[in-house]
Amino acid sequence: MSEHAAKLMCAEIAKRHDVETELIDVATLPIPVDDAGEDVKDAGFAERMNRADALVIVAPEYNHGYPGLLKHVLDTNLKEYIHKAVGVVGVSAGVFGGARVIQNLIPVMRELGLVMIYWDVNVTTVGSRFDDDGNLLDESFLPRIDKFLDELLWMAETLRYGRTNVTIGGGS
Amino acid sequence: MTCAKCGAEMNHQADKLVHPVTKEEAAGMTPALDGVIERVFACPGCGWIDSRREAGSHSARS
Repeated sequence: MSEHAAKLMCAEIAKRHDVETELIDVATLPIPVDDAGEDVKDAGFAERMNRADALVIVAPEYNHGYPGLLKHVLDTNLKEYIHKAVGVVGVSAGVFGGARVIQNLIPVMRELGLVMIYWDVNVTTVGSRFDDDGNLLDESFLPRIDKFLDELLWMAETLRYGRTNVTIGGGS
Repeated sequence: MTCAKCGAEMNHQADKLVHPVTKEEAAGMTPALDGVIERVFACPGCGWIDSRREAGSHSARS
């Protein structure tokens, strides 16, 4: 069901002027699981992360945490994330809308160098939010997504300026 | 650092503390920091990101 939420986010981002977006399903990436970290970096995924100014992570909540595969994939890069914006969409079958997976991702995002925005999207009771074709049944989510994207794009633009123009420590 | 994509001079935008990944890096790391500094650069021309480990260590994985 998270796929429906991910496609919804992509569709909403695509409505924004001058923003390119791409949906990446971590389950399809050719990343081995017999090792971890940058040793199993996938060149294609790394290049996409390098080009990105911001990430939207759509994460289902499993046992109050994030999926192991998501963490495994995120751990394959580092420099590609630093000083870039990230927002998280939590997805759950219950009423908390992935609030706990979002909280659990905060320290991970911080260590990866990503800058997490303060807006989240919580997809509660996901089983009843979309029809079988993935169409959103409850448009009350849209204003919140709009605010989430406003903040994410502001942060992305600001951080891109900082990455390319502001030198750490004020020197060379 | 020069951008591998467009040739522009890159901006040194971050110093990230990372864990050593080789014995050589572990031996060369600064105890006060308990890690190795990865210097991260961004290209003002095309936005490309690159990095290198601070002198005294090497970037075996980047």
